[in-house]
Amino acid sequence: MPGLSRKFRSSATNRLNLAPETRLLLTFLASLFSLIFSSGLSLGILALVSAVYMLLEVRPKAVIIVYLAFAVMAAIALSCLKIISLFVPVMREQPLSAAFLPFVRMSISLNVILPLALNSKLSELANTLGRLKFPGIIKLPLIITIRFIPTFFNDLQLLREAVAIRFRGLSGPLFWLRHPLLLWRVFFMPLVVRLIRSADDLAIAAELKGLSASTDFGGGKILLANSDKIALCLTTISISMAYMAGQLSAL
Amino acid sequence: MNSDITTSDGSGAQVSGAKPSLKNRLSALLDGRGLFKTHELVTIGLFAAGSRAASLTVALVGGGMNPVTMIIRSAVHSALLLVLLAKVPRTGALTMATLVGGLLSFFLLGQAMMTLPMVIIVTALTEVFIKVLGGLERRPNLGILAIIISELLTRVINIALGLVTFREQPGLIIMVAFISAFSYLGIILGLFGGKKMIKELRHAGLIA
Amino acid sequence: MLKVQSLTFTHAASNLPAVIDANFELEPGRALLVTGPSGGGKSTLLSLLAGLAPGFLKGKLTGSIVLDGRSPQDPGLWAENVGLMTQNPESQFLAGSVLDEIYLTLRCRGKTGPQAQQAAEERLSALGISDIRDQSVFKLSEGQKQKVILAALTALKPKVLLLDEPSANLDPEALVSLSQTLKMLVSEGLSLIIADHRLAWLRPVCQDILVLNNGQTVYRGGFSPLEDDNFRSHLGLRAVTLSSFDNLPKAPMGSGPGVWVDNLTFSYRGGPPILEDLNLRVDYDKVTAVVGPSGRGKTTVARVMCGLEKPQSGRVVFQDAPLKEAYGTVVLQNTDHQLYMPKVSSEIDLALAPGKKSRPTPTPKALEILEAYGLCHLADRHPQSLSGGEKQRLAVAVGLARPTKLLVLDEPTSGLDGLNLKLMSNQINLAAQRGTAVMVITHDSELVNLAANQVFDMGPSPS
Repeated sequence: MPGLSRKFRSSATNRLNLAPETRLLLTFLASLFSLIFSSGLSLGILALVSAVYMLLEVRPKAVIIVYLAFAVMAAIALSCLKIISLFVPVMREQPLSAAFLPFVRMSISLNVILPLALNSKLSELANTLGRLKFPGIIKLPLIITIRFIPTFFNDLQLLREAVAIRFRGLSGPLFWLRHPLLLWRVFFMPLVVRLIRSADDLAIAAELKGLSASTDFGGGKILLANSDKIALCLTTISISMAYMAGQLSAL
Repeated sequence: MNSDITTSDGSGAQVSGAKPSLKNRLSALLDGRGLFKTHELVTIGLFAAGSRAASLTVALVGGGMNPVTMIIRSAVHSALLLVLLAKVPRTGALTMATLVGGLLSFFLLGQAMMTLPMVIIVTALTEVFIKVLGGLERRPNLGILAIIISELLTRVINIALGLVTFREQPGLIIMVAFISAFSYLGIILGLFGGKKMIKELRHAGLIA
Repeated sequence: MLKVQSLTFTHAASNLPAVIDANFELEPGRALLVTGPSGGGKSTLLSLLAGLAPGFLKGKLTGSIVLDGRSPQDPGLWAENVGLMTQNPESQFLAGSVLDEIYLTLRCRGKTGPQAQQAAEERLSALGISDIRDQSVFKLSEGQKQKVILAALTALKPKVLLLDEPSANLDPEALVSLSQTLKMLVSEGLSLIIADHRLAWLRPVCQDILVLNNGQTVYRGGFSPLEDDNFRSHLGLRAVTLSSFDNLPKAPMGSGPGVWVDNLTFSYRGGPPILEDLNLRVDYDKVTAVVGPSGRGKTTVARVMCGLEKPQSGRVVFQDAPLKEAYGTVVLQNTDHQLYMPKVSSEIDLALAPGKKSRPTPTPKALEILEAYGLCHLADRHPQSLSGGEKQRLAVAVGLARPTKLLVLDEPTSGLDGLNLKLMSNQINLAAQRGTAVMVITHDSELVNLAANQVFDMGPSPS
């Protein structure tokens, strides 16, 4: 769509100026090869390269918050493992590197997911779907979803305020802990009602507009900028280097 | 409607002549013609998005990886799926919702990238099984069984992926198993809530 | 020409028909006003004319609708000739920005990209909204949203336009603008059918009137019988002339018996100030109407007074109120978010005793409150199954069920007919007499004259 296409590459959050398709491909390749590679050296190279990509695309504050949460989760998992190994002797014989490799693998995924999650705009999705030639049966509900997500979060906000007003002087964690079912009723039930009403409203709007799964939403052709081409070349080189490093370390 | 004058706008026009080619039939299928109506696709899309957004909100409020949050997230997800199946009792609705929700997570969060194809396949197989039992169109209550089976198989796939990810340290798979067990418990609890909710939504006239 | 003959419709969940034997004709370039008491069948009639039954609106339909030899078979194709603007235009948007919305409408009808782009630009220009072409549809005022929908609908060059309660959320300035736009469309040869409670603004637009009561046509003809007060009062219709409230005293400022705001300044994060050094007092025992154009900060001041927003400077004081009672209750415009329970009566019981286990039978106090708001016969109904006007009354009843120092009502009469407007005004006055400071945010001059003791004007539009 004309208005949407102007926001195709938003420079405010997408510092490397990558197309959404490029970011998706990078995420897919990194996740796939992190599963394929077993060598610590290969995974280390991928982790390093993906970390550089993440740091170029994501604000340092967000990286620190997410990595702190990741560290807490890893610590809990390793502690549980330690407890299990007290009862299962065979698990005590694992080398130290083996304990960390799964987390390196997870960190590679995290490094590529973060730029995608924090930089993707709902409005970009419509064009991406158009360019990727998705079948109409998938494209239609996804396009409607783009329209709906802001409404959903607005509904959540209104709901939160309505509950805050209605239960003023009573609400507070203790009140809700004593009445968990009321929490379900006052938050979840109106949300479902709003969901159904939005579905009915948008369904009528779509029908009256003549929108159907065979509607051509446009979106144009996939045009890769130099930044996309460089990113894809560097990804190929990094994966090849990681592969060769793995082969060498096995000798 | 009783009308002396019928439409001449071509809405009921039939193309006579040879049978449509396989390519045309496949194209019609992918465009949703004959499979879902526009309003059904809209409803499926909205519920898939609503389920993902609600799960995300619960995770943000509840602090992510703790059993209570995991149970609530899954309960919300399964309750919404059940309401969707009550609103669109059609074979394929569950698979479409899973596909749309998965693609949304994939495009916006980079999630479910590795498991999505397998999850779609097992959900579709579940729907075939439900169709054999009579189908949602004739027996809407089978929606509960469809969700129980497909969500169980989804967790099996997640554990299998965990086995690959944690192959150097298989003990960690216990964590994945625990997460899957808690979230599955949430799925079951959500189905109870969803069933009650459907009754109330019918009373409110929001579901036929 | 549009011909409607013997049109009758009964909702699937009801035994009584919502529209009974409707008959009328509408020539090109004429506007028909459909009015009548709440629940009279106005919105249902518009849905039928839009071809939504029986596909979306389930039920039994008989009779005929014919436009230049065609009848509605497929709502999507019918919409090329008969466009519908619903009460909440935001619910009709499928795209994110203004231009995209019109562009998408045209693409859906088979126009190529350049054709759609050109036609969209032309419609924006014709309706005088080219300046907002790139704005997000979610950030527009209600009046702008309606114009975007009108631009999208008229881009398809339909023969008939249906408008459901277009005045519901508009300020007087936006109403005048909408009235001018509609007159322009009529002069271009378009036929309009407008369902609305507020009659005054439609006088220069509509030549024909249809009054529906309980689904039946009780009057069909010109505007003149509506001038008769007895005729309108008998049918529960609103006024046909805009009333002035200049004679009402201005709301006081500074400390005193009431809830007062002292030099309040507020802006949303990163935005320009919405309120600057505002001083206002809402007296206990009185109803204070807060009026002014959209975007002037009426709702914002209420949000600050009720603690939903924190001001950058200034304060809100609940005079002579203990700290634990120093808070306000606000009844928001969208009632869907404020009703939670499975029954109307249990909604009141929850408000009376929050957290107590819901009872199978309503308490006498709940029934008494429902009676006062004319909702007693609906006690067992699900709140979400009520009409817009009924939900508004229930939301106000809930807001007043518990004693509160400050009650804010945000546009409480947007979907109310004349009878229910009077009922609501009485209840608001009773609440004030019990010692509550009542603040009514409204564009409705009829409500101001009926209910308010004093008026606070927020001033002209910031633009």
